[in-house]
Amino acid sequence: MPWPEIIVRLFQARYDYEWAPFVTKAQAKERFDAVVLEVTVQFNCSKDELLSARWYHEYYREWVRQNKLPKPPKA
Amino acid sequence: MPNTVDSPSIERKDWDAVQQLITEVQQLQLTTVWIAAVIRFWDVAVGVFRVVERERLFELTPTEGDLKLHKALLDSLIKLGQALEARVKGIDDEDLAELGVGRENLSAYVRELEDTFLMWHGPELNPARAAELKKTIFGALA
Repeated sequence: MPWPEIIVRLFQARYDYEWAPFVTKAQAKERFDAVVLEVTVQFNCSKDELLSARWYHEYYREWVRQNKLPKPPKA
Repeated sequence: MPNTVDSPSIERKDWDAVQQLITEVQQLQLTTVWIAAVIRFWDVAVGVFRVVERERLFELTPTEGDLKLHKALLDSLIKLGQALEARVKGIDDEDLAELGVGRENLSAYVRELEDTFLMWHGPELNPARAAELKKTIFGALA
């Protein structure tokens, strides 16, 4: 099943937030929160509902795997 | 001849008070530097956590043991982050900035970990509501 564009943007924002360097965390959070707000308004749900839905979680894992997104080397 | 008088009343405790103040300032600086160092160390720990999370929970199917450890370690990182957030409340923004620690970045960091905890280990959404939400979001594509 293809992911809606807004969900892909949400996944990308989450990924960017999780891997953002310390000095840009607040900016990354702002971008993530903005997309979350967009999703919750469009689909009439709360952030907690969205984030705790297991399908969302599984789809995010799948999206990360499929896109082979880079990860920084171990410190 | 200098206009001075003998002051036998000046006692050691007067100097001690000055010394005490200097020591407190030195300790304060040390504390601020120390907290900044701990934050950097915590940041490194979170980075390693994310890498292992990616390898064990994303690229592989996680075992029950992986999930238990993930939950426990994430909980520890969140508690450490929250404690650091509390510690930096008493430090000036300028001092923090000099040390490369932005208060807002630290808070955003802790919120990020809390969100991760919710996603992996939070209370599961009511199945009927989860299905409804999934249908709403993906309905147009189905």
